[in-house]
Amino acid sequence: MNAVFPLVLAVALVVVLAFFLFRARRRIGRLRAALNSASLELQQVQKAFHRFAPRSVVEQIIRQGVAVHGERQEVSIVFVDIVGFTNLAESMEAEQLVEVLNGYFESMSLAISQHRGYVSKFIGDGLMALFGTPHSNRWHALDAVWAALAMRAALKEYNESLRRRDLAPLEIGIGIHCGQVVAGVIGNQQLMEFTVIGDAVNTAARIEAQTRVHQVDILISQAVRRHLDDKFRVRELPPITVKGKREALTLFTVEGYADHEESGVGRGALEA
Amino acid sequence: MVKLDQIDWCETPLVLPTRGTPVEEEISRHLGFPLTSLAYLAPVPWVAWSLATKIQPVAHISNRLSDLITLVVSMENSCRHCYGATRSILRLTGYSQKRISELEEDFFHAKLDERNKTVLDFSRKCARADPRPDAGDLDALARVGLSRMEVAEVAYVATNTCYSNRLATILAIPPDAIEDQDKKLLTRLFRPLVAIGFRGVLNRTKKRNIRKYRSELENLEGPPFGNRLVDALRGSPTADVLHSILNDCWHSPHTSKRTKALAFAIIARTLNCSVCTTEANRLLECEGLLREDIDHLQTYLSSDALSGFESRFIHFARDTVNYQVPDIQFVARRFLEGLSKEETIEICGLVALANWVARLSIILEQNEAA
Repeated sequence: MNAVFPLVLAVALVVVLAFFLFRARRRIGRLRAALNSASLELQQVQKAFHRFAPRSVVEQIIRQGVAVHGERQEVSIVFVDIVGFTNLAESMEAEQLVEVLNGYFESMSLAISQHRGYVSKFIGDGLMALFGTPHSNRWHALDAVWAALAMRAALKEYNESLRRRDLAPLEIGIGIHCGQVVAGVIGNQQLMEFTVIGDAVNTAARIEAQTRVHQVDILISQAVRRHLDDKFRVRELPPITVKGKREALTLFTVEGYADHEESGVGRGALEA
Repeated sequence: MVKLDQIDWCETPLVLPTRGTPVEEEISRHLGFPLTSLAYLAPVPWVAWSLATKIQPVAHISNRLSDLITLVVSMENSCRHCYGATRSILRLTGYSQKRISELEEDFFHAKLDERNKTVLDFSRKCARADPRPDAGDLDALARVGLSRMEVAEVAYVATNTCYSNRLATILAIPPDAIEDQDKKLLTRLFRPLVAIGFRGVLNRTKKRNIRKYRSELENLEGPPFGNRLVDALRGSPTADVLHSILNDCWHSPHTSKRTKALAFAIIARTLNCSVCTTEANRLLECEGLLREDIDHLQTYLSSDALSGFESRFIHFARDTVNYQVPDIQFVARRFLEGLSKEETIEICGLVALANWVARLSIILEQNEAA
């Protein structure tokens, strides 16, 4: 009897230990699965975010939190807006308006991304696109102007589809300027975005507004003009003074590119 | 970095495989094991042979480290083909699933020493166009005790992987059958034995690679491009491999020499590699372009001296520097449509090689600093 008791006690102890070990292992297994799933989700978010911010910025955010510093960069900024949008909005049903706008944004965004640009934000019926960031690009101004010509061609095509549905065609104004900006993740704890700030951004917006004054669809600044060769057919416009600028701006309208059709050049092989 | 099952990959390869060619058989014999991907490259021998150099002929860094670099760079480039194949090779050479997963999750937190972590971080930067590694990254490697030749071999393996990744991605080569080898019951049952055997096979292939390229070069002149890079690699068998691949590419008949020079020039310029840009511009001059045409081309991406195909080609070449996998596969399909199988493979090999060389030029900065 004396010999059996310790044996039973030992067996009971082993059983209890085995039970706890089994439970612990199961728990670890569940935690590992949860961790893997969270990691997978995080990786997907990270992968998606790489499209909108430089990888180095994403990695810095992951390792050090969102307090990242801005970086000075030379970029081209493109503003695009629909001319006479208020009248258009009033003449259409809300649902139809949203559908027309979405189709328009789709084709403009495609023309921009095909020329290595990045749509930074949609502002009502307009958008701001950047060339030369998040990925540096020494030919950012050329790409921006090629994108503008591609947008002109894409709008022509889109208007054709609107006409077939008895809808009024859209008209756009595109303003392009290039210069130094500060690029970085900007916002508050709730809402942040990778964007650029600086005088060049405001100037590009003012140039876009001038398209209505000059009744043209594409306007570029002198700074952008310097990046283009004589294959671009451009026409100089009389200097104008814009809000926030003491000196008059010399603007150019872009009529086309050499003897090619507007959409076909600079696009590389990526065609709509 | 994305994991294997998260990569978007076009299911239809850009060219159909050409099976049973003498080139494929010869390379399989040379490797000591079959690679199904060879059939997609066999019509252009220099491109098919370049795949055999994935068994890295390195002498100053370990095979293990070279495999880890390949894994990390293939993940960074989201190349489904190379990533899957490298993963399987690691498994077949004895790496546990858990260890590979650790590296895939985040190698910064994996059980690696500081030296290996620094090497992998540098390799990942080599895969990126923006920003490229700089003198600071080379200093970091020196601080963890890497010699000049070790740094050169690390950069070589990382950028050679970028080459294979681009080649496989642009051509959308399907996953290699070597991935199935790892899943076989016999492999799973006798994993330790398989690991010993497979490591032996890889070691023999590596030695064959070193011998083959060394003997091949005895009667060759220097390549018309990349001479300074080849010189910087002297002391490592990798110099002979790069030398040979550059030579074979240059003399291959499926694309003109001018197209080749254009690829080197535009990709070097996009990657801000001044050494390669200067060398490539010299090549363009030899191919009949005037100095002012070259300057105009480099500044405005156009020149009256270029043909319609060449004008489109320079934009395609630019697109291969920094890309999302589905985008580049789409771009390649549109651009290469209508070309013969040989032309398609050679152009993909060419742009991949130009990316390799321009990225590897980081070691020249190291030499200049020394």
